[in-house]
Amino acid sequence: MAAEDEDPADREELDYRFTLANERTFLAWIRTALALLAGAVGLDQLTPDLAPVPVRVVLSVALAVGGAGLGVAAYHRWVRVERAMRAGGPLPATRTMLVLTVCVAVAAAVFSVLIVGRSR
Amino acid sequence: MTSPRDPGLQPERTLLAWSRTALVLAADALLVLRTGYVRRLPGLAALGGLLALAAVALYAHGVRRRSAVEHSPHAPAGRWWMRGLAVVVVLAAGGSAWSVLVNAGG
Repeated sequence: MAAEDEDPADREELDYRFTLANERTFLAWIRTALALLAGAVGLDQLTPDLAPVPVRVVLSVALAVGGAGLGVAAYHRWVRVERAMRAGGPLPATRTMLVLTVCVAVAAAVFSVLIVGRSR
Repeated sequence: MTSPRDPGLQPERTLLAWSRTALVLAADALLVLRTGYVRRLPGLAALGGLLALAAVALYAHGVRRRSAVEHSPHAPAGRWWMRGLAVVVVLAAGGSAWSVLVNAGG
């Protein structure tokens, strides 16, 4: 059961409300990742005239890769928070929000340029 | 650790979070499944079907999790579900990228 002992979720009893809050935060990140994937497929299938095919493919694949990365980041975040709560330490900082914000802002800027360019 | 319990709300909100996640995953699964079907790619369609099954499993886990938490305040979170969900997201990303590349290829 050595592997089980490593599991931060089983190591020590914790106020269940904190466990559930961490769980819901993890799920919220997962949904954000899944929304990026829906954006990737939607961009590809619903906006055939937005940009030349290579540009659309690059944007869509970038969104998909971002979604995958965010899914993995969500898991690591969940583990780290779970560990910190059990150790009674401060919650770990995360750069994920900053990275996500910058990525979404860049994507929005690119889409704006494409939409304006198309309407000319 | 003793703490005031709010038996209704915490488990309920957590179940809702699992169900919302399952719904979004189901939507992504259907998009992948649709591309696989329309483009006649059995592999892609199978991946979409697998993701749809994962969405069902996710919802079932949410329901089970809710009743577990209601019966014991210290029900462990289940690391493997979190890990599995991260893997499912990566698979879904692969399916999405595959769909995009298939459509780009005509």
